[in-house]
Amino acid sequence: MSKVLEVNNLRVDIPTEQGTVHAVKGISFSLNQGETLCLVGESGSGKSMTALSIVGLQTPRARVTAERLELLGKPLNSLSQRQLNQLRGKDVAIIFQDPMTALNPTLTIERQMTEGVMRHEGVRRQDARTRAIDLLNKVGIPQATERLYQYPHQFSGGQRQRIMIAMALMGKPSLLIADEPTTALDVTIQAQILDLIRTLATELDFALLMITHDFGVVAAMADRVSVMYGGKIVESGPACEVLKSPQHPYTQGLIACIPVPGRTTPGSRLPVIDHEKLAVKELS
Amino acid sequence: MLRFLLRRLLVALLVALAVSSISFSLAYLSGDPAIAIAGSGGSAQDAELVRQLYGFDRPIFVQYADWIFQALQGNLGTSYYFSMPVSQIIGERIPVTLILGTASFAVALLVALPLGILAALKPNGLLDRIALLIAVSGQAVPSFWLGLILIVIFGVWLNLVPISGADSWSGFILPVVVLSYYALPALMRLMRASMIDVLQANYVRTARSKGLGMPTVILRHALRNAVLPLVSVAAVQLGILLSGSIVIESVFALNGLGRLAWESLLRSDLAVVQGIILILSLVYVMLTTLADLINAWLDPRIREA
Repeated sequence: MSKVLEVNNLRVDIPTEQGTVHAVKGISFSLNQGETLCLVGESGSGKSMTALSIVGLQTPRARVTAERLELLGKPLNSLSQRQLNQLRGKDVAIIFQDPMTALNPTLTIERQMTEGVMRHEGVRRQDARTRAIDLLNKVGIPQATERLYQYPHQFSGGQRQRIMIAMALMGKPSLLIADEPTTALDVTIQAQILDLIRTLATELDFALLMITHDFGVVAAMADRVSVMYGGKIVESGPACEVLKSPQHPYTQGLIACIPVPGRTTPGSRLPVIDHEKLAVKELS
Repeated sequence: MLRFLLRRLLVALLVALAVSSISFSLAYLSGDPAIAIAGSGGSAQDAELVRQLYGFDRPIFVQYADWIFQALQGNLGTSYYFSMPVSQIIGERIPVTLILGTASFAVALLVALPLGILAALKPNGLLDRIALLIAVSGQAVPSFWLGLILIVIFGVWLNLVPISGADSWSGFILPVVVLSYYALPALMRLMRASMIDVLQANYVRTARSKGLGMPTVILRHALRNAVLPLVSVAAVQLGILLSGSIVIESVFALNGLGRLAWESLLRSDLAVVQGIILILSLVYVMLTTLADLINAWLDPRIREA
């Protein structure tokens, strides 16, 4: 299996007026073709920052450094903006958390889906349209040929996320980054979208970097999992092993937080992660 | 889209009707027009004669209906002062104001939009500071003062442009500069604020994630959304500019609508004042309707609202 993404000692520092925030404190992981890695952690653990900094979409103030940050052998952190643009939307694509605001309200789906490949591959508009209709069919948008010319507000949230997925796959990427793709959706839709992403990942054989805070998503999707806490990876391994016998107390806490029928009685308090205890352990 | 258009036009028509009745009755608030026309030396009989001559003795609703009916046929009545058709008097003055207003608006937009966008790309950068300086001084400097200073510099000292009048196109240069500088700050600051907002939107990040270059992201994805709040403000600005600036037209001795309105008020030339107010309000109604249509064209969500 060929290596798609190699991240070695990635750091993201954000200078603020109150001092520098070390959002990501030197993390390493890699992804092979066809493999799914889940980055799990709570809000502020640095998982989204990691995802965004791989494609160079971090906030302009943030400083990203890494010993190695390679996509298909190309060093992402030393590319010019122009060279980076040639990779984005082609070799690597990203799906965001909130489908309601991730699509441009004033442009048709057709325009938004085709503009990337027309630029990257110089294909004709007609060919790009054909590819867009194929993908819309694939992600389960009915009557794709007509609906291609509609605007985002004419689709439901779940449909918009399907469109985002189809749009991300237009350039046949080797790596798909999904930044909490189901967090903003209804629970029933969440399962459908996860299902769709998993099916597509198997069929199209791209590497998937999934960002989530939800161990349910990990159980459904991941080959491997890396647990992030306070900007560091505290535990990594095959998903089934980590889920079955978590080693780090934070991972144990996260898994214990999932409400399970039978284990938690209605009305009782859900388990909470004790950050002070964790901080003591980090220091020792 | 067609339904939106029809509904919008119907609303515009109703607004125009309401505005016309207000502009008609406003003129009567200042007192008995017959006495005003008869003048300070006029006797009661003179006033009575005027009342009959101009039909002021009829019930006000009849007068309004008559006025509207005539106005629809392009007849705005007769000026009491010039004894000429009001439409002819206004027709003579309107070109100057129209040229001045549209030219100033065009110049203001051409400077404000690019400057606002560039300022938004690097907030608090050098260009943003310069733009802010231009905007603040544009808001702070009174138009008449700027006009006089420019006349002194370019008209008197450098002798580059005529110091007054609109006999040649060069007479318009200074008034257009002054008036566009007056309209510029609001447009530019709004463009900047709106652009900064939109550049932080999620869909702009999506556009960048597709590998589009910054020019495409800004022009195709951001600008269309950023310009939406600007359209209605720009329409009002254009309305203000087309109403004719009394100050600017006086400073540069241009015979436009602004001066005509002011002079007619002083002469109690009721028919002319009513005519000007009617035309200007119709211009406003047209402009706001046009702004709504432009916004509907830009944003598909508005079309269906």
